[in-house]
Amino acid sequence: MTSFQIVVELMRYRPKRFALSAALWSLMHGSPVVFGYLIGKIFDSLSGEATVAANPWVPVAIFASVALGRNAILWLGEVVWIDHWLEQSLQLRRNMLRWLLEAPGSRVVELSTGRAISTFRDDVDDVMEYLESYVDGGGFIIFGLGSLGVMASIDPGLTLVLLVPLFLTLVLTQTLVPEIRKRRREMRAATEAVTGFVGELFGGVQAVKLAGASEPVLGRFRELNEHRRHRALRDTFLTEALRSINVNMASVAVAITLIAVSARVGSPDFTIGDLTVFLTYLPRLAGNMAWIGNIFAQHRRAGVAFERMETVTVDAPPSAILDRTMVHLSDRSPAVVKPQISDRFERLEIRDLGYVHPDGKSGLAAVDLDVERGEFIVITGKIGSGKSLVLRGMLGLIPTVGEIKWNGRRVEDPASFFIPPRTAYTPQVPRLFSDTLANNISFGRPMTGRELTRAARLAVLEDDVDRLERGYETMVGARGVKLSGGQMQRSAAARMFATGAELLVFDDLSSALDVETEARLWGGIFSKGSDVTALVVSHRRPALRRADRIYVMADGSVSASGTLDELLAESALMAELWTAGDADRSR
Amino acid sequence: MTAPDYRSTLEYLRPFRARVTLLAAVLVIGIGFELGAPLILQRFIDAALGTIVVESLATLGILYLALAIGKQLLSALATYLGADVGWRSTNELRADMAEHLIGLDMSYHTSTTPGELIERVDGDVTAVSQFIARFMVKLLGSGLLLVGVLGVSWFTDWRMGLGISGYVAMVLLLLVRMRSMAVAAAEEERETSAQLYGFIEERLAGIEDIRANGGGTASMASFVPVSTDFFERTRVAWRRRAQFWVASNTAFWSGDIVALVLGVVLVLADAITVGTAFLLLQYTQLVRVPIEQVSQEFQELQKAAGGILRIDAVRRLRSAMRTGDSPLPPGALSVRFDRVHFSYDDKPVLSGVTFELAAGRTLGIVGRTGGGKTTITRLISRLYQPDSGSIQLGGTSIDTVSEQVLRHHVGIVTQDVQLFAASVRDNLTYFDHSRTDDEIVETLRTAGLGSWIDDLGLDTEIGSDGGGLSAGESQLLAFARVFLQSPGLVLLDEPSSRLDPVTESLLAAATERLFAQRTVVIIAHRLDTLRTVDEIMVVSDGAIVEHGERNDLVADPGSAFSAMVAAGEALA
Repeated sequence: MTSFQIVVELMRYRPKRFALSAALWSLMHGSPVVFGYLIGKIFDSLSGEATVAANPWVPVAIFASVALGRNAILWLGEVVWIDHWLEQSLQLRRNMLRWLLEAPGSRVVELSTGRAISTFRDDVDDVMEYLESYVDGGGFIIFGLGSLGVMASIDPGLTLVLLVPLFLTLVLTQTLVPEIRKRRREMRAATEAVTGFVGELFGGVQAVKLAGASEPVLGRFRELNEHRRHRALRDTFLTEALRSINVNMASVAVAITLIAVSARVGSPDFTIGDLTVFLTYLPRLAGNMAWIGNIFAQHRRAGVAFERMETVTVDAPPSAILDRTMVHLSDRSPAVVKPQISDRFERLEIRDLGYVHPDGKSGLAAVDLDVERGEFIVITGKIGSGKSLVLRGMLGLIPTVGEIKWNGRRVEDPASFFIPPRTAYTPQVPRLFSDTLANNISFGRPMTGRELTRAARLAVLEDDVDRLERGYETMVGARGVKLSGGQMQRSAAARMFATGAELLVFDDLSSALDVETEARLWGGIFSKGSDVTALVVSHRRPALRRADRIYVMADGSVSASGTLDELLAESALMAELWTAGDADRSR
Repeated sequence: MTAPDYRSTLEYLRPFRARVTLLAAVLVIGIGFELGAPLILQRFIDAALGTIVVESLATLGILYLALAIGKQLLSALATYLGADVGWRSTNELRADMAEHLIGLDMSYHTSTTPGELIERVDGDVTAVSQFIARFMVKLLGSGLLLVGVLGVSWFTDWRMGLGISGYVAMVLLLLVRMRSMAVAAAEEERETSAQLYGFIEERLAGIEDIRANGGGTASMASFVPVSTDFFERTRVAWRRRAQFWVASNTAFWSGDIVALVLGVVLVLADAITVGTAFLLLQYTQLVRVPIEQVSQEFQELQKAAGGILRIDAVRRLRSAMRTGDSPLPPGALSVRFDRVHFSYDDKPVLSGVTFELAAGRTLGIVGRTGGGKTTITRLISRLYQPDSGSIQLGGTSIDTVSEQVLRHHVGIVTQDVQLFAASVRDNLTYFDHSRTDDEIVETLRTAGLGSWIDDLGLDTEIGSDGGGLSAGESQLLAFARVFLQSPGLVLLDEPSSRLDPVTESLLAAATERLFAQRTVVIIAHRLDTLRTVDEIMVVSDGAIVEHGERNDLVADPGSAFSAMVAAGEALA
């Protein structure tokens, strides 16, 4: 999509308010065209060169009313545009987030959160700034054409000559602005390197002290500081250079005017009033041209920014990013309805599951796997053997080839199919949100207190909740930092249990749990009368012992499967994992 | 509040005296040029009207060009020089601050977050840098320009001088008072956007949790109040800023109106020439920028003053550590505690701990969390100063040994491995570039970590959160650091979390090699590890419950240790 098409699409969100903004700002930026004209009249009258009635007070009065009236327009324009900008930037951010969290289909979201956030923040702002240039643009064009018209009516030849430095301003701005932005980014990166290093240094000051490494570490700090100084100066240099060029072009234009008219100024051919018209218009015109040059740069930048927004949202079509559904503003979350599903889980069959990493490396090849209702299935294997990929592929978190059948029927879009109450999932490194523990467990779905305590009990989280200051209402901090690693994992497990899903999928849940807690966890899940089916990744003995069937993964394929006893007898790999893998042997 | 000590901060400018002088010269000449250009326009108009006589109008045009371009180049040069001096001098200040802070003992660091220290070392210092760079260029420059404009105005005509002076004073007062409003708005805005992006960031990080647990709709529903809050509060902040713009814009344009009225009145009264009336208008517009800058820098000045105060406070802090310059013997070191007491935050942590460990022996310390195990290693490594009692290494009291020497002889591996966002090499050597790659690889090969480092690669960049390294690999890296250091005494806080099987076995082999030829104190979390140690010490409630040969304690069914083994109790 071109930048122009994007902007046209954006203008169609609340078009009336956008048009009102554009009208107000056209008036704001266009009205100074009268100032030059009026100043000319005033000075003609003062120098006694006016041809008609020479009362200077009329133009002074008009000047005063326009100058003060503009401030009212400025305020109105701000009020309308602030609302529009904020709402529309939320529209874009909402659309991107919604696509990533809700759109059907599988996609690899391979983004460092830092980069993704900078797209959500800065790239959206870049697109909005480009849109803003269309709000401002009308006024600048009115002023440009108007002032050039007034100047040309006085002296068309001179006006034509003056276009040269003005045009140069435009071209140079357009060329230099992207470079300035690049340098500013480098400067910001250098600053982040410095602050990041200070954070690391004092986060680990104990280690640095213990290693007796203060000297070399400070040396590194000096290097980073020096690097930042260079980057900062490069930025300052070019910014100042551009400013100088623009100011100087205006000065050159003024000087050309002075020299060109020196022979006839003061004559009726070129009055003092005419001179002040030129002197008043030229600096603002140069600024105007710099602004137009900046728009060309913004045009390109908006295109790049939108491409990045498309990259972050992986497979979102432009129409989804630009979706015009009104932004919902309310201080309360709309109610979420719990989905109802009727058919009881009996059997899951995975056939010929394959996955290729985005970099071309093979991830999974021809994986077959079966889960029957009530079974406990364990996937094990060395690091990088594809254990987690099997789970994520089945759940539709990554795009796979092959066939997945639920109760004998083929699942077309696993991503939107494998959700509660069919399945629930706890990843290897679960993420919590800065919210209450209760909301982290319920995920915002309506839940009774009994359901909540049941989930916590199953996840062996009850004792921890009792010890927390405000129980379930405790705020867990950003990303759950106020909880210990084990508490975070068990909270995520509680979230899984809270869904009441029939098939529980979890990736290495026990890695941060001690033996006793792990035993209680399995005991709770498989207590009498429980009707749970579980598909888990683990290399821990308690899980392996309990498994109805184990799949041993190697290089992205199932190398062996069966019960623990069968595998220990047949699979050398299983035997190796069993002996090497367990640190609990002395217990 | 005491007055900030500007002098000690300005000391940092001393090495750059030549640059500062140049900067001042550039500023003054530039301001002269800036004042001159409108004066030429004034003469041009008056000459054209025949009020005054000049040789050639075209020459005035050329002179105008020279002054205008010269003024702009000088102002650009001044900004550049100011930035350069600001960065250079404060980089020195930053490094000094960092060095000073590293030298403080751990009781300071445990009570201060890294975030606060980033503020001290970078935030406050940057405010000072802005102070130097901008105070010089903007505040002094703008102030001088204002004075110049007023001077020329008064000189030209007293009524013009009076008009412009009144205008400058009023607008300056108005802007300084309103600016604080705009500053509060900027802070409010920063806070609300931090909340919005915090929400988005958490959802992106938890994307798989959300999708696979059907939390998408719920997340988008909770986006509604978050984005509404962002909308409402940012709107208030932006409107406040817009008010500031409208107010300053009104003030500036009122100035133009007053200048025009005054000009017309004075010309009609034949008090000034037409050229002077135009000069009046030009000067009124010329002072806009310096007025804005002075009002803005006024705020910055307050920020810098706060920064200087805090920097001074940090510089006055002193480490509680006693130190000396005794050497430590080479090779394995013996350890001796004699009635060591230590309390933290007035709570006793160790009470009268006395023990001896001969050089070359390995000691395993076990006991419940909070019993004082870790404190023993922290006192040996001099992160804290004991309240009383003495600690000797190799027969030398550690109070008489410099930190530098001690670090050289004592190596430590903690559970939390501190990583830097840098290459594996820099992480191994702590940026010590005197180590060659061959030396590093050779040392690690003898430690049995050769294949590990070959796989990992010295040039691999890792993130500060350990991006790219598993927990096990971070542990291996910490071990490798100690091998490179080759100390006579190793303190090891065994990792309690579980690692994957392959790393686990690599780590076990490395541990075994590390133990050879060295004195080792290990805080053990697993019974396995304790099979290889010579001595066991059981610590509880800040006192030694039991200390003896491992074999003796195992053989004695009445010992606390054998009870622990029998119970198979988790050790951490």
